[in-house]
Amino acid sequence: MMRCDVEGVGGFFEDLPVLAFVLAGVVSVAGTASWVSEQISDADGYSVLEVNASLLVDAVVSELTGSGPVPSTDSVRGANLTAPVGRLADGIAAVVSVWCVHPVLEPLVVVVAIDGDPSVVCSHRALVNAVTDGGVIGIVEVRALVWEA
Amino acid sequence: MSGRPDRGDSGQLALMDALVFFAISTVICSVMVFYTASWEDARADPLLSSADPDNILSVYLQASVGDAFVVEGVGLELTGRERMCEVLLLLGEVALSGGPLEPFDLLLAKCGEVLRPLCMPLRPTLSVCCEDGEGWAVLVRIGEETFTAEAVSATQNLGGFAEARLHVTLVLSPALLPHGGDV
Repeated sequence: MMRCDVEGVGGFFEDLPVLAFVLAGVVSVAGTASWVSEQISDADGYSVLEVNASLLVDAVVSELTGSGPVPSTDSVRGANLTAPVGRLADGIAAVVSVWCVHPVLEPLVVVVAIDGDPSVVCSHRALVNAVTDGGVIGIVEVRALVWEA
Repeated sequence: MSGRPDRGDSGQLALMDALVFFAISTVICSVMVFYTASWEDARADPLLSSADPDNILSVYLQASVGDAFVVEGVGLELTGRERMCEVLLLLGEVALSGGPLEPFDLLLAKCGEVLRPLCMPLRPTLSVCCEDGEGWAVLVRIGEETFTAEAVSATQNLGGFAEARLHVTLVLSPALLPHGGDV
């Protein structure tokens, strides 16, 4: 003959709040830890992109200025920037644009190395002097946009 | 009545332990969130970290004015090939010798017009300062003097005039939203 274990059933329902509090605590700690690690991982990825963007801009500026005096806007316009862009790490896509911003605003060079859509993007820029056709010392802006492909 | 806990007492003790565990886990979560938030705040503002005031100032000072100018009342004619550092040194010398700067307003406006696009989206303030051993004074200023704690700056030596040393300082501040403006 089956007997109803009243005390057992009562004990089970008494333990439910205990179980709920323990589970809530474990879930909240695990969720927060997961969120924190994701934030740190994103920050690390952004730092890598920042370094890549900075190195790319430095390489382009070195390519434009070389070891000589102030370059001319014509030499900047004819510069081949595929080498510094090609030295980017695998899985990094970039767009490099070189603009004359003074005395006249005009695009000089644009190099694109796109592979995939950008999600987290990092940019860096540097300014360089360049002599224009009229002998005026102008200002050229090198801007790089970098992201994980 | 014995001191041994019965079943009801054990249930309450277990519930109390669970509450303590939940409270501790809540505190741990709060600490982790606070640490992450403070760490995010401590990271440099990408806008400011990407701005290099030394690079901007050195390139700006070596650039030409670009446009020819005739400064009325002074008899000064600029071809447009004069460098910004020469123009700022001239203005500093005029101010230091007590001359009026009003005739140079258009030239100063041109200097500011060249500087602002280089610093976008930050707000630049360029000052020519004089240091004579006893202190320093601002002789010429381009832009508004509204510095913030997040501002970054660079200074370069312009040269000497009458036993005084002239410096040029560029301060880049985050641009503030206009009061009452729609965002």
